[in-house]
Amino acid sequence: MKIRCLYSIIFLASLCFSQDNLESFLDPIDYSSNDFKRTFFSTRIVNTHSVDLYKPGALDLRISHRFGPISGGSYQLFGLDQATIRIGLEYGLSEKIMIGLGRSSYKKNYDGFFKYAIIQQSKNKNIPLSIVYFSSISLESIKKIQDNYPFIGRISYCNQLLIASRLNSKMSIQLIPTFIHKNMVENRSYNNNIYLLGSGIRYKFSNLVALNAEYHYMLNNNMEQHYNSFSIGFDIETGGHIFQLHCTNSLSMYEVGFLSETNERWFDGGIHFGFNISREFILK
Amino acid sequence: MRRLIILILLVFPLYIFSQKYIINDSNVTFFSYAPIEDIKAESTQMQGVVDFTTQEFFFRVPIESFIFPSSLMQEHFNESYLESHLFPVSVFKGNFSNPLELDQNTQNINTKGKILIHGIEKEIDISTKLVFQGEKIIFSSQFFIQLKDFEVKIPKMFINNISEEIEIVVKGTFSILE
Repeated sequence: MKIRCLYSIIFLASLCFSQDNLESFLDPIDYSSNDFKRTFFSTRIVNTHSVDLYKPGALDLRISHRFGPISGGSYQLFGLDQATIRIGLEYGLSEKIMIGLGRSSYKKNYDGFFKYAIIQQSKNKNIPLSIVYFSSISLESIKKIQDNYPFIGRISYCNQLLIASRLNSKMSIQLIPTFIHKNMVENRSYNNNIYLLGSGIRYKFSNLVALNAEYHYMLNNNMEQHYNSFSIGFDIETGGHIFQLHCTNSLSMYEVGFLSETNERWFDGGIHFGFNISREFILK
Repeated sequence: MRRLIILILLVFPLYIFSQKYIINDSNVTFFSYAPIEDIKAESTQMQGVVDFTTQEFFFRVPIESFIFPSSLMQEHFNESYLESHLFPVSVFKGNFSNPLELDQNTQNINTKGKILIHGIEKEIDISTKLVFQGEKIIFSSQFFIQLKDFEVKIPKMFINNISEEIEIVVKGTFSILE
């Protein structure tokens, strides 16, 4: 009887030796290589770059508008009668490198930038933050009153470290130390080198809507009527397009411009309504 | 003595003749064909094992391993649709419905099993082509799933961007499990 029991147990065991046991032959899943997450919706928080890069082969067409100041009142339809525009293209060269070009109507400025991802945040690899190096160069092509204005004086540089952390699925924060060098400034007493410390934040209301804000503080500001840039707005994702609607006191949309040439204040009604539209094309 | 022989006969096939093959390399691709855009994503991290004695198999693929050409699509796929933080792995397990014919190098095997996607398990029949090449077996398979079967909800705004029917293509090679 005992032996018969044993037989049946073995027989049953042989039947039960099934798919679930097959699983035990597999190596444990390695999650570390693919817990990629975007920190922000877009490659911009509002004006400033976020730590996110496009994937290799992705081309982004970005059209940005800033309207006139709200203080223009109903006669100017709160600024909507005037518009400043920047058209830009951004392209992901590799997993870590992104480049871009842009043309702004403000000072008829051309800008080019380079973004390099130094560290990427990864939960499974215990890396709590992402660090991206950002560098841009801008060229003012607007006609100057002075004769013989040196070409080199039209060029300015911006270098930033973008340090960001995705705290949870909703909240992301970013710290942005910036160094700006201008080959020429408007006034002899102004600094050619400007240091700034900026911060940005993203809060996701849903998978398609987020609130974004950014503030940049000039550490050595000795310029008259040049103020710190503050922007706040919403990101709305609509499948392929990202709309960023915001209010800001900066009129220009390239780094040197909005960081060091903002000459309006929120408290004086120097608020500009604006939007960025971004459309990603997959070329590869 | 006779009992011992019966015992050995019962246990023997399990532990000695058990022919298990494990996936060496694999490629899982899925396609969504919608009016506005076609979406394709690919994973090379599927794992799997097949036991030709018991004619059973087990496959699994981590959801986060699917790579999209757009990082935004990849984020939506993980966070909004497949919710990979809650359901990190998809599984297909089951057994053959027709027996293997050992004299043919190329043959189609019909399988009957359960597929687990987005935490929901469904019965599914998938036909697979097997090609025996020496020590290796090359497999390839194609099948369709309906998103609503797995409670993957598409927002109304994206109804023209994402297809309700998803085509899945699986390819790879097996080698003997040592």
